[in-house]
Amino acid sequence: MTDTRAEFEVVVPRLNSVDDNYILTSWLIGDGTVVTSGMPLVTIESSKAASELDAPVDGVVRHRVAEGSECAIGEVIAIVERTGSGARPEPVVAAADPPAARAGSAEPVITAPARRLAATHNISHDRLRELDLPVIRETDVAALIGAAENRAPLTRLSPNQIAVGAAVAKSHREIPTAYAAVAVRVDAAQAAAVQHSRAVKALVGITELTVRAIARQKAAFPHFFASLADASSLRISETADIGVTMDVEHGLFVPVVRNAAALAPAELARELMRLRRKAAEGTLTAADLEQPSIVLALNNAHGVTSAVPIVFPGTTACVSLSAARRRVELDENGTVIAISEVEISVSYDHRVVNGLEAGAFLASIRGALDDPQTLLRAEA
Amino acid sequence: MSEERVVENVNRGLGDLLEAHPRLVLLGEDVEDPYGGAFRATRGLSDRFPGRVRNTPISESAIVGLATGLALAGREAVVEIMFADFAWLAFDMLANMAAKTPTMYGSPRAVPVIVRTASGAGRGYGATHSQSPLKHFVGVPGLDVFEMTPFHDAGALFESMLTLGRPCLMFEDKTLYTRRVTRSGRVGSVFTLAPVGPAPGIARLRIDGVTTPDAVVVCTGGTVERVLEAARTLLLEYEFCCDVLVPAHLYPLDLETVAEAAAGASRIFVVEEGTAGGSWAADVAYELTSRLWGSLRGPVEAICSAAKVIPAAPHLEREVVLQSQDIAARISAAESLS
Repeated sequence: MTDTRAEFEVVVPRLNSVDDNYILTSWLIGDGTVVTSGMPLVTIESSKAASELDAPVDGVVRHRVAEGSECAIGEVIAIVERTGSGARPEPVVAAADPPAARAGSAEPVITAPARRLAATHNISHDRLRELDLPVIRETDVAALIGAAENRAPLTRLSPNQIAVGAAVAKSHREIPTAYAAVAVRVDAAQAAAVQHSRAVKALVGITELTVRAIARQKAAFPHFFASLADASSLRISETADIGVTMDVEHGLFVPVVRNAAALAPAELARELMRLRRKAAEGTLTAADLEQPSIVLALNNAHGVTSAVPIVFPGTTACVSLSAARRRVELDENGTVIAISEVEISVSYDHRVVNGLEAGAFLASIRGALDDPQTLLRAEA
Repeated sequence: MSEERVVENVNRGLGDLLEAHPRLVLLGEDVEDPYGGAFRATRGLSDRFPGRVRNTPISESAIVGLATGLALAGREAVVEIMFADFAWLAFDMLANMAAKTPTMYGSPRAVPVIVRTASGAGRGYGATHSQSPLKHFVGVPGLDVFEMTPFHDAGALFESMLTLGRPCLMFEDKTLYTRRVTRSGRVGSVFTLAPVGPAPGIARLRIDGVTTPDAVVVCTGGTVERVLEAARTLLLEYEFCCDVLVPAHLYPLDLETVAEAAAGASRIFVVEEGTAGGSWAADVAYELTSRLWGSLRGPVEAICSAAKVIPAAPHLEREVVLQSQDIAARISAAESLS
């Protein structure tokens, strides 16, 4: 319906070098009235002077801005509908309704941190508007996200998990932990374990060999088998009572193999099996769980290659055993060979043990696994 | 119906003053109709009050001296000095005559004289028509200094000045004249306006929902638009919330009310458009530091224009005269916001 050739826009010109806005003080020609080109149409006032704008063409004036309103440079304040060249002016009965003042659409002010948070959580602009706040801050968006999350039903943690959580939190809160890891080649240990299992009719594997290897470190590395009594003293365990993590269906347990160094490989295998069964049945007793002097965290399921264990409260170190993986290596002749390797690492209480000692401790465990025949021999 | 503009508010205030005080005269250069003053602040008044609104020769010293003499003869006078840059020409009359007259003659004398003048840059008027000489009139015993704000009523301010019985100088930022007057409620999209303290009151603008702001900015009426823009930027970018305090009575400042309104905020900034060095802002910063030392986490900072002559070219003028970005940058630097 708009025919630009039939209409002419009256645009606010720049009236001086300083103002960007003026006041439309009065219409000299009424809305819907016929004007002729050059007639004063409107008075516009700047901060310095009042100026008249003339009608640009013959035609009918349609006001777009009310008297007393501000108008900006470049703003269209009126349309003149051309009446020249035979076009007839529409009969004007009454002034057209002034355009209704735009309702103050309550568009919220949203801070940049709030925008970023909303974007990362896919919160739409409409949902922010629904908050009906004049200023939306990061905390408002966070509350919105929290509310959304709060609508999901709660799932209760098992008592076991709550206890694990308490132990882990206590460890993180109280024990300044450091960490070291070594790679250990286990081809020889695996082969020896298979052979030994057949001979003694018990399932001896890398886990059992590692428990034995750890147990043999007690004399040389007593600080790894200890409990911090206070900030300046340590209670060293008399025997290597090795806690072994057992992640069973209904929770994580750390039953203790008492005086592991005194057990033959087959005895050790049977003891671990007994404890594992009790863990699975949920029949472990307090005596099974009390006071490990060190913990072995088994992280050898699902091909895990590396894990950082926590130091259990009441101990100073926790060794982690990864799954074995096959990889290629160059031997001393430069020939490509396939090997089996595990990662053995230790998290330790840095108040008790330092890095050099931790490295030596791991190297000594690796040395024991490198010589499986000696490791499998019954304790002297 | 939109609110009246500041120049209309000043015009109405002057008209009401002439109406209420039949012996009051209004003097100045080109204040009579049809010109009605360089900024149209006196438009219509000489027609409405014949003989009481008088054009004067171009001599600011003579006009202020005349007004002071009229006051001694029992009349009230309002003087318009076309540009604040010319107020220096009346400095001797203001400081040595008008300000001393109330106490110099053995018995107290009322000197109900109001000197109004248009100050500030932002219009490309060059070095000698753009200045904010506020600082040179601060600290003169017996001379009260005001600055018009969009949040105060000029007529009420004029009445309170006459009541003081001392000469009063009021700066009116020329960019403010075309702005709308706001009395209460929303200012822009995030601020709510409420006056604090005894009349004429200090306008306090607070971001909706804030109970304890991160900082308080005390500023003049002429700089408030820039301060609010800076405060808005700091809110949007960093969620840093500033309360803005806008006094109209700048000297002596109601420090009690400012200190009370600023209590709880541990950082304060004071903003004026005048050049740095011996400024109103620095004086207020010193006073607030003295009062609030111990509860502040950093010094009260004065934020002013560069100590340079104001160029006429708009882009160069912006480099010298305080802009909203300068204010936001100063506050974010002081607060290590990023």
